[in-house]
Amino acid sequence: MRKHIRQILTLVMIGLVSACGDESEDLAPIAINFTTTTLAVSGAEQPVVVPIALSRPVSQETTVSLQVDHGTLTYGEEADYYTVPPIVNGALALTVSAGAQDLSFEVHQGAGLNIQQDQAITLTLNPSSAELVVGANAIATVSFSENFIAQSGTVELNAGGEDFSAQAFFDLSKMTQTNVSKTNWDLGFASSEGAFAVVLNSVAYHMARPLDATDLTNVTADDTLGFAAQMVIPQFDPTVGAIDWVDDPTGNLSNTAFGEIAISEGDAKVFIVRREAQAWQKVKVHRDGDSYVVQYAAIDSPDFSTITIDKDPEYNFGFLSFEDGQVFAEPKKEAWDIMYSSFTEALSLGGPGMVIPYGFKDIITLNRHQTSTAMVLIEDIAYEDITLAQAANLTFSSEVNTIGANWRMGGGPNSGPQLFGDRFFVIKDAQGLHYKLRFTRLTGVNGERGLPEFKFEKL
Amino acid sequence: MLRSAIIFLMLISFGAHAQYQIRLIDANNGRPIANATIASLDTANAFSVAADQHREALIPGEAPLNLLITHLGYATVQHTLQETTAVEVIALAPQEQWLDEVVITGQYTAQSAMQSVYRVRSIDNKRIEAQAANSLQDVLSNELNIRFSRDNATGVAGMSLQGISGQNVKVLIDGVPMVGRSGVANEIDLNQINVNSIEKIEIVEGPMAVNYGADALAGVINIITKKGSGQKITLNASLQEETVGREYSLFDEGIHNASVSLGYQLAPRWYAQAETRINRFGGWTGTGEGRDKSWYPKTQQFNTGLLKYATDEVEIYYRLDHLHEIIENLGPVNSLNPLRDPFALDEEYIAKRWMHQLQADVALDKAQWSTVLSFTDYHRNTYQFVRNMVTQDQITTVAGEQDTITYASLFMRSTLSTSDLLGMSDWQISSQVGVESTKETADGTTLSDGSKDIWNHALFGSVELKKGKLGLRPGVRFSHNSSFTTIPTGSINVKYDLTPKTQFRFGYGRGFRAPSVRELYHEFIDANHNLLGNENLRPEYSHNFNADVAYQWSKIHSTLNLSGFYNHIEDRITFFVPEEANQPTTYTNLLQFQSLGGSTLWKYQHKALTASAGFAYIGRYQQLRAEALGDIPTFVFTPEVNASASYLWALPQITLSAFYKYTGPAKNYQLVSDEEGNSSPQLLGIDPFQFLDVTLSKNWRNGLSLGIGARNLLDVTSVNNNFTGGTAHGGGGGAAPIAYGRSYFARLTYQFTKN
Repeated sequence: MRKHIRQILTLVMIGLVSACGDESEDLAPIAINFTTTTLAVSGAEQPVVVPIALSRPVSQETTVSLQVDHGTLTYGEEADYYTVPPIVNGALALTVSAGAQDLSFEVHQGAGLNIQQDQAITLTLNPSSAELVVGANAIATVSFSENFIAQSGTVELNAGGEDFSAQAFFDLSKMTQTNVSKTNWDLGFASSEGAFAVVLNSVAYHMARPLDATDLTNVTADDTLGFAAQMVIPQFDPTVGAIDWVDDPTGNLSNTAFGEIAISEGDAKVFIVRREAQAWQKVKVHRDGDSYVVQYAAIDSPDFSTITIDKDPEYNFGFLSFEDGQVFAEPKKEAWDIMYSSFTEALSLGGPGMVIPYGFKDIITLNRHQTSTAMVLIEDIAYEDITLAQAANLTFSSEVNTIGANWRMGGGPNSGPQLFGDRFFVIKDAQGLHYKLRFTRLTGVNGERGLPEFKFEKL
Repeated sequence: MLRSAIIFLMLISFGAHAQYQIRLIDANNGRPIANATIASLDTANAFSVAADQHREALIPGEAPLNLLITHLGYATVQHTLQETTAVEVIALAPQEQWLDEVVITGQYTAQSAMQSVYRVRSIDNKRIEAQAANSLQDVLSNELNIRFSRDNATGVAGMSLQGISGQNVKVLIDGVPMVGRSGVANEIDLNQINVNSIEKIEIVEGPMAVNYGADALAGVINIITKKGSGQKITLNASLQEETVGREYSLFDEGIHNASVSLGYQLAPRWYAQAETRINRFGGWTGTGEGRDKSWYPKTQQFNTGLLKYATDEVEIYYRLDHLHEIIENLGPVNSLNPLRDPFALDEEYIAKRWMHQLQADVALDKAQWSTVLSFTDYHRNTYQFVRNMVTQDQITTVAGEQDTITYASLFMRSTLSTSDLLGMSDWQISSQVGVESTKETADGTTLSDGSKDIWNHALFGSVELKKGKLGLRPGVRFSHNSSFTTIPTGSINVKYDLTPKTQFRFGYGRGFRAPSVRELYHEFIDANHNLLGNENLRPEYSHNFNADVAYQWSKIHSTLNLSGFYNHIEDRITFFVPEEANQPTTYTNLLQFQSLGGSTLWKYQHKALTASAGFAYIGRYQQLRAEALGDIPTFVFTPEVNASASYLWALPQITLSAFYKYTGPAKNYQLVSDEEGNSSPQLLGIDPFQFLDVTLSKNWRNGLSLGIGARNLLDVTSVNNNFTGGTAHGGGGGAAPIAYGRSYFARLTYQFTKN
């Protein structure tokens, strides 16, 4: 009898002990790499930040030294170039504090640089700690050139974190990110010559609903009864028809909430523009030559503001803020490829007529200016293997939401969103360059939304 | 007392006749039986022997002898004794639960199920053991009128009873309400109960609001825990290994259960008991990949302790119940950035529960006074972190991804039951009056401004009038709640014995479901959600009708039961979007719901064979009908069939059992749009499915037993559905995952008892 007890208890004990995992002490060393191996300084006002990544945070403070090969250049603020922190005795010493896994330094153009001729410096990683091992990206070149074209890189986009308070614009060939508050504009006015279209700030989930009125001063709150319950994103009831009050998410300018822009002031209808956290507006827009005239006011206001928006062909749109007048809300159309933020999408609940506006986070939109993209499944072509010839044979789409939310799957009640690991994208920019792009993280390193990371490489 | 009776041998000497030795054992566990009577059926050789458990009974006479062996707790056996010199071992099939099933749920004092004015179904621990059940869901999903909609990922069981969702079912542990409604379904997770500690499960369908208050609308599930074995020392240990579909490895994948319990009679009046159990479910990969599993791994640890003091008049016990549960939602490994260590975004859902219960029962002259005081503390955390796959270090993610909800509940109920109050000769009158108070405190990150207290006080009473074949029990409950208004709820139950073997029962009652903390105070606001609780909600009230006829064939140990129900729930709580500007979605009392159904259940037990078969037909109300869109029936019906059989080979002590359940399609009408954008109602849902389990167990006399079996023998994993389109959170047509396929288990148990 005792024997049985002992046997069973032994088995139970084995079960209990085995439940606790055993910790392995033989960890892989921490790898240190340049995030990007080719960088450029393209002007005196634009120093370049050279990022260095550790594979994980270091446990204690350590130093990393970089050897610098000047080539024909000379160091100094008044000479060709200088760095922050400075180079001492031909080497750059960087401190990594305990718990950090990122470090960087800046390379500035010096006052004496003659940029007529492309020049470069070469940096080599040389860590002093045994904890760190140099990885594949041990050497980086920083060139001084206005014609710099980025070859590859790994980048974290920043839409303002969890609140998605910003739009992040990214230019692949210049490897530059521009971050703009998403609420600093309300309407966009197409800049192409001879064309007239007004777009909503779909990043901030704006909506516009036409009234059967043409006089702004006659519109009062009585004309908008019930609008508050109907003009919401998401509007789950498709019979409300809220999809007509947002722009076509593909970027098609002939299918916007504002529709065709009236030629005369008398024909222009009043629209109610719904904003999420700011006062709703009544707005009417008409053409004036090749410009737009906008009248707008708060709904209860007896008088209104008028502004003329002229077209600037360097930009896709001219932008209006009801609070600040005309603003710049987007880089020049040649200076970005993709935008990352929230966005108003059209969601189908079933058949036709069952489409509702739905607010998405983590949307990538394309620059409508000569930029297009194609999605590639890795079961067809691996990210590592794709060639320019293969890329050229892909079917490219210039609908701005082609990438959209298709790089990550949405979450459910018990699961968060996740990256789609089975795909990457090829982007053809306005210069005709092909870049392959693959998302490597959906959130920031601490799980914060709005901070995804991707890697890209020129084909 | 009886145990101390000496062997009483009435030996009538017939000269030099032989003596035979007989040993009686329990057919289920092989242990010796005390207090049986062995009588001769041969008139020429009349005797009667009382058999004791400590030695063989001596039988006088000349073989062959026709013997009748009777025992209060076992099926009577006729045995022909042939000439032998060996000890004749005779196994008796236990049947005390069968002949005179004693129930307590809703009763004034424990009484026979036949006498009860409610129909009480009970499931004893033998059934649970025969099934080698890992969870309460395993046990209850074989029952008629009960369905489970499992959240496959987290393994949280959501049930429905009589077609009504589980938030309308009151789950009690020894009569005390369980705390910790959670999840999307807003109900108690039945899988957070230790099946090992269950002595018996009693199920009463229909509202028990008079006795148990809120949420006992579809019915009550009362878990009665083990509280003593009558032995000086009882040691139980068990080990169970089980595959999850085709997945199993020694310590990780599959199911691994271990438990140890010890009961000890400290002194004649003092008894103590302790138990610990570990339940490890390794998850199921399903459509996931690697560590990203379709069904999340889950580890549960249960600890219970009991201290009991009992005299003939007074029984007092304190019971402590502890649960610690961790569900791991492991994300896929991300190694897309070669410059960084691979990592994964993981989540853990951690539930902790401490339940203290102090109960006192005092038997007075013609009365019984029972009081229970309990305190439950329940926490549920969602912990999200980034796990470095090289170092296994965990970094907690942003605060918005972490979540905590806690419930604390203080509960007191005191009842005074009297029997034969007036001493009338023709009417037998008994009654019960009681008071109940509950203080519930809820706290959590998603509750609007902080911690909430809800007080509830109730006064209830009922009278049972019996005259001849007729039994009547009217009752009423008055309550006061600090968060919402309540109305008195009443009930009337009638029992009439059509014949001595046929009982007819009818019950009408009102029930109510209290608005949950989530519905009252929950706050969920982000880009696509704007949801606020409504503090002005009223309870959902129901009218419920139940009727049943039961018939017993005493000679062939068989019963047949026919029953029907109709439920009508008003003021159902539902989502609501106010018309005014910028209002969040909230809850309101708006909808109605009905369910209608009937079932028949046949049970048979004779000698070594136990069998049952049942059929139910349950109709659920169609909400779309209220919107008058197309021709939609009031109810959509779905059938259920269950059957079980168990056969015992007495001498090798081997039992073969099979459990079967057919669950009809779960469909209802939903609006579907065609290509022109016109919408019309269509019957959508999932197809029927069936489960079959087969188990084999073998007992040895030394207390060891081994069970092996196959679950889900028909290898069901997913069931077709005809859902069209999708919703905001996905879901389209195709296959609905419901189970992880055929799996196998082995279970080793050891019991040691000492008197």
